[in-house]
Amino acid sequence: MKVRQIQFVHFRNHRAFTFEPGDGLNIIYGSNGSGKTTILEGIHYCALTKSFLSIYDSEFVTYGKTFFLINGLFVNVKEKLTSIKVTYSRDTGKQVSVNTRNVPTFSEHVGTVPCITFSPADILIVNGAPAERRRFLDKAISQMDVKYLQALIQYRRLLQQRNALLLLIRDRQADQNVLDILTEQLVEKAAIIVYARREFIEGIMPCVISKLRIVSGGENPSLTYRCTFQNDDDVPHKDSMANHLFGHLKARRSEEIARGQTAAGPHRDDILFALDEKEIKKYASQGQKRTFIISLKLALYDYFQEHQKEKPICLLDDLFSELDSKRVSALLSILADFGQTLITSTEKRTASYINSVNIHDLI
Amino acid sequence: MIQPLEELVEALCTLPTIGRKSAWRLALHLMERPEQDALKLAESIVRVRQKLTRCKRCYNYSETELCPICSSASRDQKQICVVEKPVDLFAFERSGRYRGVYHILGGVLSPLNGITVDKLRINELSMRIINEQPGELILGLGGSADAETTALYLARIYRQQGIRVTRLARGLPVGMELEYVDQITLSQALNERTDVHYES
Ligand SMILES: Nc1ncnc2c1ncn2[C@@H]1O[C@H](COP(=O)(O)OP(=O)(O)OP(=O)(O)O)[C@@H](O)[C@H]1O
Ligand SMILES: [Mg+2]
Ligand SMILES: [Zn+2]
Repeated sequence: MKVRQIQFVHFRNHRAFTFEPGDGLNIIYGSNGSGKTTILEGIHYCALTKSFLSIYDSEFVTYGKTFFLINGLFVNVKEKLTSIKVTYSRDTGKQVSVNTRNVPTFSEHVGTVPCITFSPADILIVNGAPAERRRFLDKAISQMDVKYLQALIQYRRLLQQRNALLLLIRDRQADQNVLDILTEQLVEKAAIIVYARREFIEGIMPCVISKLRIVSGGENPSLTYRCTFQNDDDVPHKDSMANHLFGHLKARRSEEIARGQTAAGPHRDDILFALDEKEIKKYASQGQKRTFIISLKLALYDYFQEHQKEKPICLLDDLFSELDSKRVSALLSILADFGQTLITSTEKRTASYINSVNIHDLI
Repeated sequence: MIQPLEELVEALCTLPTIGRKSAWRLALHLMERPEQDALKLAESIVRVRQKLTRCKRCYNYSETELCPICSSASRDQKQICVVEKPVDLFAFERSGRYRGVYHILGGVLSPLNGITVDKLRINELSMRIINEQPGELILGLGGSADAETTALYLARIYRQQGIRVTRLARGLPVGMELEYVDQITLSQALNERTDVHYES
């Protein structure tokens, strides 16, 4: 997938602005606060209907205005054009339309424009709480597998219902009859999620290893899924995973009721990153962490491509900061072979394969 | 301002899907049309509120103790379709295909909103099943996650009592082009595919 053209109206500092990136590697450079990241955010809105920095919709509306509009024109491998429009106003909320057809549920749109993002804030994937790592997994897998996203949405809803019921049971306002039913529904979705996550991690691992080797020149990473209800050495088969979790929860029922919380499942699972068998979060340097995250993101490219016909668009915000020049050129050599890529930077960089864009010439 | 008119607008605002703007439009419409029309509307509102109660068997709205469906000799009283609310019953009736009777549950299970088993007409349903000994219980509960939980719960308790419990098939919308059907619906429809019966 490629962005042909992206048009902004009242989107942060872009009051009325149109940008046409090149098909390959684009580097958008310019001074701080000139609106580079905002361009990437706009493309991300078209792909995944929201900000990649988790900024609220309302905060994108230009000061003093009442709405924003983003209009993206995309082209796929078969040269078919898709026009995606995202509008937001305080009164009517957010609306997304694809080729002028309104998209009622945004989850339906996810995956249409596969997209990989990097931003310096992604360091949280290593440094942050387990929720950050689960978010990374969920975002990646959802874009390739609608069924995963569907299972995830249903799982979250069932989890809320189940936790609410546990509290009611604790306070003697409900009995345990419905709990078994909710648990059965929950574990069925849990199994789909955990299985897909394990499969994803297994699949992406070789890609991460090869990418990191190129960028770092020899670090050896590993990714391990940390499941709250099964040991790594005796992972049950897909079909028995649900039963296994059911049994696990049943055994912890009194604890669950006392706390009003579901004790185990994909909402509590984690993923462990290591370099040469040392946990990255604890031992790696700032630059090593950053290089690892970038390799993880770039590995997604290979993985997406294997599983989908469309090449993803890469949106890489401030990619080069904190990296030594050797790592920067290694990165560029990888990106030269990718599909469409947009990098933001405060400095100009030129090469034959780079479309270098000064943002100040555009606005 | 004009007090009675404002009171009417306030009252209309409390209706679902009616905002202030529409409320004003409706109120002015009522003023501008012949007086007779407005009075007829007012009377019918009074009439439904004063004359209608709930059928003591199926809990649909009814003028009589037993609604016309529950007291009809041409309806199969041994087939009970469980629905969430009266609009769902009317939807089945509009299809004209269903010949059994109903049971209106009054909602679906949702612990988050405090809706537990005792908040729905599940005990009433259990009593009916003991008294009426139906041959089939159809779960006509819609496709939301909460409806699903409710359906599974009801299926479990009544199946244990040896009642035949069925549910609506989930599949393709009639008249829809296949390419526009979302993946979830399509795989559901594939799961619940049925044998083709040729008319001879
Ligand atoms: N709601 C808004 N209305 C108008 N301008 C805004 C709004 N929100 C943010 N801005 C401004 O928009 C500009 C664009 O920010 P953006 O993050 O895109 O810059 P950038 O080019 O990526 O900068 P940096 O190099 O520092 O990362 C900033 O100057 C910011 O102050
Ligand atoms: Mg920026
Ligand atoms: Zn009745």
